[in-house]
Amino acid sequence: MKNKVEAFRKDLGETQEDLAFKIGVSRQTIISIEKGKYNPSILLAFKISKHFSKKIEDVFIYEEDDKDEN
Amino acid sequence: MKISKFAKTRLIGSIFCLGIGLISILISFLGKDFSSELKNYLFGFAFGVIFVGIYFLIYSIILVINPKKNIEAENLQKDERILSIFDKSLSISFRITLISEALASIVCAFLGYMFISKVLGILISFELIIYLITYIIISKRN
Repeated sequence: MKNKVEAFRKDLGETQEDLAFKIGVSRQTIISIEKGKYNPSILLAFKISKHFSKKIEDVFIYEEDDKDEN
Repeated sequence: MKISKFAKTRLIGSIFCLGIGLISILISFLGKDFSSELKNYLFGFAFGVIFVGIYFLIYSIILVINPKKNIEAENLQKDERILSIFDKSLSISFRITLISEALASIVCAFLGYMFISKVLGILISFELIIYLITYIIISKRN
């Protein structure tokens, strides 16, 4: 699933470690999410979106042909 | 100095491991009728457990001294991606272990090692029963 986590994170001037610390996950998870390798759960997606003060659909882009990557 | 629940758990675990290790060493020295193999086994077990205990003790001290490290460690513990990887790895390992045990049981039976074959068979049955019970419990909760 495509997302704009990296872009929004950089807008806030945060490192991956900063974001991971604030969200409550590991830095590796943030890296995987930004690369599109890992699709977060809906709870984590909401947490990330709330952190950026954005709607979930503005941060995570669902496409009809998305396969289950997990 | 406030100790987080996470660090407390590790500290208790380390004390428990050190206790078990010391008891094992005591038993290995005091057991007069024990064979040398059993004594060596107990001593080796004690060494391993004490090593783990010391590791957890140092780790919990680091967590108490460094609160940020403590939070990072707690986050790692709860991280959904890591938990998912852990569950998948465990699932695959369990399947491989079951198949390996089944094959070993069959091979032992053919080679005439009936006791080992039966023990493996009982172990496989026990593992499958545990799997069935946990599956039922988890499916009822979700």
